[in-house]
Amino acid sequence: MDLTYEPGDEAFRAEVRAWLQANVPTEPLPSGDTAEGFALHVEWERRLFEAGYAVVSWPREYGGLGASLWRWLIFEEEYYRAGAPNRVTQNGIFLLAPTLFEYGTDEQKARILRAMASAEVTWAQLWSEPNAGSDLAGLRSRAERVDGGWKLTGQKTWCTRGAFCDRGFGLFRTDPEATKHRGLTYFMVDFHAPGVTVRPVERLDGDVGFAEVFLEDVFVPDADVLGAVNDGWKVAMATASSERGLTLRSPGRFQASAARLIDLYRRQRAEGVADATARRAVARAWMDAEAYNLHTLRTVTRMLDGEHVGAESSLNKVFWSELDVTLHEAALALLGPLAELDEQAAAAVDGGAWMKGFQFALAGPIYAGTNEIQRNVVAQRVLGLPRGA
Amino acid sequence: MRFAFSEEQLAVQQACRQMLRAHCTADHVHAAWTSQAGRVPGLWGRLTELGVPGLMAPEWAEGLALGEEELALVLEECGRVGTPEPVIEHVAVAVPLLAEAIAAAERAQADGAALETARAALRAAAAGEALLAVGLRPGEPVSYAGQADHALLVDRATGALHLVPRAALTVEEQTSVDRTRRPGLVTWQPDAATLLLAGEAAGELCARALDRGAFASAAFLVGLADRMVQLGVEYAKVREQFGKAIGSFQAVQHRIVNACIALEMARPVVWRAAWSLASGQPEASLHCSMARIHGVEAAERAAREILQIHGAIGYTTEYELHLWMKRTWSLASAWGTVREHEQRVERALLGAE
Repeated sequence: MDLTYEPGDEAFRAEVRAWLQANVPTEPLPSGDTAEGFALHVEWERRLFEAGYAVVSWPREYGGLGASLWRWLIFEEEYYRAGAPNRVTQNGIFLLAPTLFEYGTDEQKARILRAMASAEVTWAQLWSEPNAGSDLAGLRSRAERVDGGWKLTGQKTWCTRGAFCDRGFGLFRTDPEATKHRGLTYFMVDFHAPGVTVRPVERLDGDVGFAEVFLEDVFVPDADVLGAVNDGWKVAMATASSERGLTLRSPGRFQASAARLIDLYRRQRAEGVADATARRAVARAWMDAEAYNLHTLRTVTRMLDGEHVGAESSLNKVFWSELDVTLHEAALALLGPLAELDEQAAAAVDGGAWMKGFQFALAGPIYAGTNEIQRNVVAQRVLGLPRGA
Repeated sequence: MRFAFSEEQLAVQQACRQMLRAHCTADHVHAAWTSQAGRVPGLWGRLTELGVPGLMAPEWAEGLALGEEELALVLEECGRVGTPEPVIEHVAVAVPLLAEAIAAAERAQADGAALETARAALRAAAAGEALLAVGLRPGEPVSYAGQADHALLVDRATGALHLVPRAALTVEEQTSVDRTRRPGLVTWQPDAATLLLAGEAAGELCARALDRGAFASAAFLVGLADRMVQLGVEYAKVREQFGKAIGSFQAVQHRIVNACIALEMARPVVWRAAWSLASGQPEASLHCSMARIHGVEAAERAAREILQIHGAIGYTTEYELHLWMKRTWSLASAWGTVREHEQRVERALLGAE
């Protein structure tokens, strides 16, 4: 057992840290989930790409550094520690790309991955529908065979940053006769194609982070089918665990939030407004972030030893999403009467980031598969309990 | 970076697991409840065959000279079967403390006769022939005090560490919610003959021993939590109501999963404390407190959730669950409360209040 990084990895950390120090905007960018902020975030993504840091763990031919999982974790730690902008390319990089690496043709990989990493093309997910959320396989949007491709019709919803992205990826029903999980196919759709209508939806936190996407006879060429026709459920699920597990929310993100919480505590204590309850909550949040980090170090060791890490990632997702909520609750408790001040209030502490962050944290137990679904997955696939009725 | 045990370490764990599975069943533990010593006849001897009593003892005392990483694995196995033997007190705390105190006394060129007694006590303890009890916080009950051949005790007045023979101890035995535990309130007179180590050196070694106790109890509690979660899973698969296994109901599943998550997140925290102690990390104390908090809470959570999903059968002494719950509660009150360890973490992280 050795819980220290090798000198080479620490040298990589130093390089990343120096680059971030020199390049992260000193004033935080406006939220990437607004039209203005999105454009600025895309500019930032391009600089990150040019420096080689957009997708450190990808092979070099697609714009990555071919870095190990350890270095990916180090990069993430440094990225969030530096307070760098949120990744508006995240859904493409963390959700679509792993599926492309596993099921994509060489042509698809060559055409899509580099452009995704450089933010030339930005991606939104098309999973949920008005009547298919947790029961995703109940989706009704359909695709019909036409010459040279497919025509897609239906309605998708809760598409993160869908109002600003260029393209989307998701499941559509290609065989209406087949049983629920069969007869689905994984498509990639151009939002600029005729027949696509995108309606922005304002989120709880006030940003236009969601969109509804209406599709009416939208042509998608065969080249944009990912994996085999009618095999979409398997294709989508093969990498779904990576979303919940390691990649979507690396420990560095929460460790950085915990460090900022500690800093807030120190400032509030200096003002004489931090009591023993707040002090305890701060330490607990930090400890949980540490526990998640240690659990991740263990998981990565297992992965490098060739073990398959599948359904256990659901357990991670429950843990980090609930930890994020309690961490922000601790911050609001510390802020006391100032907690309600939002980003536009002049007197808001830290630019109102804590209330904003709290609201975003509340989405965690809902997105990427609700925590109820994740608990079902752990019960059935990790513990071997019988499926519900 | 590598967060895994070596093949050799896993072999030690495997040997323990196999032996304990056969010789420390729920029936054995249940029988220990009403036995004179609260222990399983012959089990200490079997642990001795595996070298467990002297796991942390140096080679000169014919110990295995292994470290906290191996200890973490062995204690988790002991916890999994609720071993009612002094594996935390004697194996994880007293033996390494005595060895370190002897080394420190040798460096300070202490009195030869007292040291010779201490060396003999360590050899006997490492060989599993003599039992060491340990009481580092004056006034708190000392487990196994009534059975111990020697007790390592801290003098309240001076903070010095003494090695006190049984004959010099008065033990007022108490009963614990876990009847295999025999905590005793001890009274004794410190004198020159029992003095092992005084001054700052004693304080430092005792602090490290308390850290080891916090970590070791956490490792044991992780094993207990694992046992309770498994018991809950097995029960929920076979117990039927409304015509189906109760384990198919979401309300039941989610309770078990909550216990499972607390357990899975606690285990790496405990292992990190093991690594920290074994490799002498400067933050080892902090890591032990974190291990203790997560370990206690994982086991308490498991006790609570798994009792609930069992319903009334879990609330009897005819079924095994109570054995693991009661050990959980008793170990939650030893080696520092969760709140006390939280405060240690708070001081390390946030400075003085």
